[in-house]
Amino acid sequence: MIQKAKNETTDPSEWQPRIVAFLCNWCSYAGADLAGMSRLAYPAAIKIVRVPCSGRVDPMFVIKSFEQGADLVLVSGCHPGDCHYTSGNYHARRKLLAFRELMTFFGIDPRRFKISWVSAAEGAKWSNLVKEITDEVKALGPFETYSEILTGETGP
Amino acid sequence: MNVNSTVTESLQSAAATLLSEGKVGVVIGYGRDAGASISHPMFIRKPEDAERLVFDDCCFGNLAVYLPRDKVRSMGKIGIVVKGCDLRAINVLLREHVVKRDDLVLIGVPCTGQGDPLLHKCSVCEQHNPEGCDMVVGDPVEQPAIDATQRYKDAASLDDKSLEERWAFWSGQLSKCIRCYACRNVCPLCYCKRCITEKTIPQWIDTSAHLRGNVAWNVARAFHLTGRCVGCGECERACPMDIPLGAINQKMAQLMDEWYGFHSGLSPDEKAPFTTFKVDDPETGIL
Amino acid sequence: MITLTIDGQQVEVEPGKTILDAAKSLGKVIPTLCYHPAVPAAGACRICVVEVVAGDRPGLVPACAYPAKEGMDIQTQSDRVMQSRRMTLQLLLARSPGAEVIQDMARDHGITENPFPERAKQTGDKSEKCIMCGLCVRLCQQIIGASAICFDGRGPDRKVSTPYNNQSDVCLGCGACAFVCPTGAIDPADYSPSPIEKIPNEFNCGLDSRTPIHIPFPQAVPNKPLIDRDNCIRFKTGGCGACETICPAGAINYDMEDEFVEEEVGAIIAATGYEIMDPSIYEEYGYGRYPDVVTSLEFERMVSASGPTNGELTRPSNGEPPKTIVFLQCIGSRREVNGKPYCSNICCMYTAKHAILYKHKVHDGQAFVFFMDVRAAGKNYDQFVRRVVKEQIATYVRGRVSKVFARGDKLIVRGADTLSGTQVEIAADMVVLAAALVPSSGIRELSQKLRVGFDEHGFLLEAHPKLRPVDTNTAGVFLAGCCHSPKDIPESVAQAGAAASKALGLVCHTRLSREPTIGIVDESSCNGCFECEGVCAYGAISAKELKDKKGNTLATVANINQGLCQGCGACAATCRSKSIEVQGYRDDQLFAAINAINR
Repeated sequence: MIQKAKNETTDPSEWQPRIVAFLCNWCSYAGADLAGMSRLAYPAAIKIVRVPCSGRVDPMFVIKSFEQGADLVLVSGCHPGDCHYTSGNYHARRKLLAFRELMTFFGIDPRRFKISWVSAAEGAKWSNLVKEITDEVKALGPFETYSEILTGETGP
Repeated sequence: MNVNSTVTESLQSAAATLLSEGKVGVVIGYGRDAGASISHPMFIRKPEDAERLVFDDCCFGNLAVYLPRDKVRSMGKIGIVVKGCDLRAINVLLREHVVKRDDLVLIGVPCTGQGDPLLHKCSVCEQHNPEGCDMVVGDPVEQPAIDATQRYKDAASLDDKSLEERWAFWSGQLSKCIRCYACRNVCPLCYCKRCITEKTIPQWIDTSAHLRGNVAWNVARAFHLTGRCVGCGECERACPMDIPLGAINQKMAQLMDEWYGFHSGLSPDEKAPFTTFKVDDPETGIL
Repeated sequence: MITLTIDGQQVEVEPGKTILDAAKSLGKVIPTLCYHPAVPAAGACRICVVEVVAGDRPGLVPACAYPAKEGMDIQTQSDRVMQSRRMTLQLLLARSPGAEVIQDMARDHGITENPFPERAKQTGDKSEKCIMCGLCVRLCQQIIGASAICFDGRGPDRKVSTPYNNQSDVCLGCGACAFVCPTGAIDPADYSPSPIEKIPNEFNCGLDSRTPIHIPFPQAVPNKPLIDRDNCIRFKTGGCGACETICPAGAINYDMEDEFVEEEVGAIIAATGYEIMDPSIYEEYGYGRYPDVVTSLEFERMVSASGPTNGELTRPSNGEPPKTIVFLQCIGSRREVNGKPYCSNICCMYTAKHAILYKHKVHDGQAFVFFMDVRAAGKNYDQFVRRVVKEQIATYVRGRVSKVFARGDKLIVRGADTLSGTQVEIAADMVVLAAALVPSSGIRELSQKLRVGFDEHGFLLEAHPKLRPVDTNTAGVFLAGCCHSPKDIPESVAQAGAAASKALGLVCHTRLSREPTIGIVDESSCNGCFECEGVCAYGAISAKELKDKKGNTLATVANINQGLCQGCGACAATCRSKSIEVQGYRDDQLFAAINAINR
């Protein structure tokens, strides 16, 4: 088992994306937990910040993550209708989708910001989702739009 | 300059009456200094000063910006001259409990548009005649039919560009930002006692005039106005660096319109899009 | 107090009371006709005469109107009294031969023949009931205040009527005259063009009527009458007031108003019950069109001993006992299109019960039940239904009914028997529809007030279908019974018990323990825009006024009720001035996490 897992890890010299994931405590975090308990491997590039509810996520967290060097940000919550707090994900849906449009309008690549619904029973979905978005962000490469402004190269 | 004398006269007498009867402590309107190119906001506190009020086609400022301020509120009940577009901002302030309707006397002014040539917001304005005011000075004006396709034209022209082109455009524009916060200070809806930029624990937004902080600030500003901005255009008019802020606000207003059929400020009883939801709201692009 | 003697017994009464009152307090019965306690007495019919033997001027006096006096000696059964009463009855009998109450009294007084000529020989009307006592006229004038009826004509032509014998436009149509008439001589429809319609008795599904002052239903708590203001003459015209006059306890108070009672409570249990849907939307069953098609709730009242027919089961159309009865289940329930997709849960069991009740009432009757499946999942439930089938109390037909229509005085029930694959037609006397249960009307307003969600059918939502079936998502609000979903009595009682103990568990402590991860407002920077209130699913956010030492309001800010907040943080994400933090998930903590990840 350990041997197999080692084989799956990628070449250390290869560029690894940084993915910040905000997971709601009740569905997506539990789903990720289930993936772990079910021994479903998924890329280690994703780093999880647990929040009580997807409705807790202020869209400025996304900007903050990019500023800190994230290549991809994911917000994941309960499926619509399943929110532990009855309606947090509905509010999140409105805010986060509008925010993605705003990013897009500024020319900030919307492919760098993912939203998903993963339930506590969807360990497999979580595992596949992380694989897919990791592959996608690897193909996109480092988030240069933001890394450039971080280093100040496009300053006035 | 093109003074509307009938409106100006009835405005002056209405303001004098309100003040002399003690119904208001101050009338906020427009005045004009000799030689000035545009009319400026004016606070009238004595009936005899009412003759300094004027209404012309250069009354650009959105007077609602003064309503949240403690110093203005300490003057007593406020009489305020409102064009239809200003009334939308007041409706949002009422919705957000910033002012109470009872503390206001709304002096509506029918308006056919400001500026020569006409401002863009005036060319798509559907509120030529303010509704729900306590009094209206001047006769109602004709409300021309509006070409709705023109409403979001500034945003649409940028939407047509590619992602890279838009980033090139905005990073160029936002690089100019000197973080003077004129856009915030002139906005009637940016009334926070403590702006997000001033919050230091934690630091939400880098305050240096550097592209990183500038992007964060402008994204936050635009997002905080989403579902609230009434498109008065004051931010863009005030910006000393000529950043086209109106296009950003237009984009978000367009989204609220398309997704939720929402137009901010049409009534004080409406619910802001981000304080409510529908089970079947659009959710394209969620994994 | 006045002391007098009646038939040798001493009695004390208050001044102003009549001899009749005094006799009543002794439990003596003096016959009356023109007397009604709500109407000032007139002594018109002379049936209540008694003899004053001593203590006042001796002779015969009307007991209903004659005041009791100190030292009076009264005889109620003396020969002189009985002789007078017999003669009065003979005279009344001659005038009003149709009045049954007079005939009965005459018989009781041993009158077999009448020396007085019958008035009917002149008029030819043997059905005359009016005895000209004028009680109705006095009532209409003095109590109701309408003066719609009066005596009209002279001598033999004298009668009670309206002016010019036309239907009166001042008559309220209240029917009080008919109610007090001792001989039943009055039909209010003779006087009023629009007699007040009978008030349907809500508890009996409108199958009978009630008076404006009524006890809502048997075993009501409190078991006391109430006045239906919309129909009460007193409230409509200011007249009447009879109930106040009569009530010995002085309990009637017309000035009482509805009042709002405000109580601060620590827990709320919603137990608003159910209604049944109106099956008249399904035209095929003929409900509303045929009187013999009734709902199961109406059937329940019909067979109840306290119901409109005192427990006698009759066809509403003709009053005959129904010899064949058909019960139709799942009317509106388990119907995806144009109905309710859910099972109403209780119909299988009450229909089996109704079949048994029916057999108790109509021994030789035949009962049929059309059903989809029998869902008898409860302790001893299946045995109960089995018994109904095995003992042939009802014939169960598995299938749906396509149409109910009238043929002669029968209702033809046409349906499918899916077990034999045949069409069946039953000629029934009565059809009972087990209509779907729906939440009480007004449940949506209630759910908004309690900030509890509801499903697409209006039933209130529990916090978790398996783990918290009694709680709601609003802390301190619990559910019991059919406001939550269709339930039978044992289930409702069980849930109510659970809700009660949950509520007690909350309020029995002096301090409430909660998760610490809740929202905190920074009052110095809160704008008071209350957008947070809009996104709070728990109604935990309210306004709080910040005051200076002199009590002037400085600002109105958001305040989070620590007992209600569940810590979701939607408010924190919505707050533009960042004036709300969720403890344990503060912005600086989350930023630190983001920083740590990207180090």
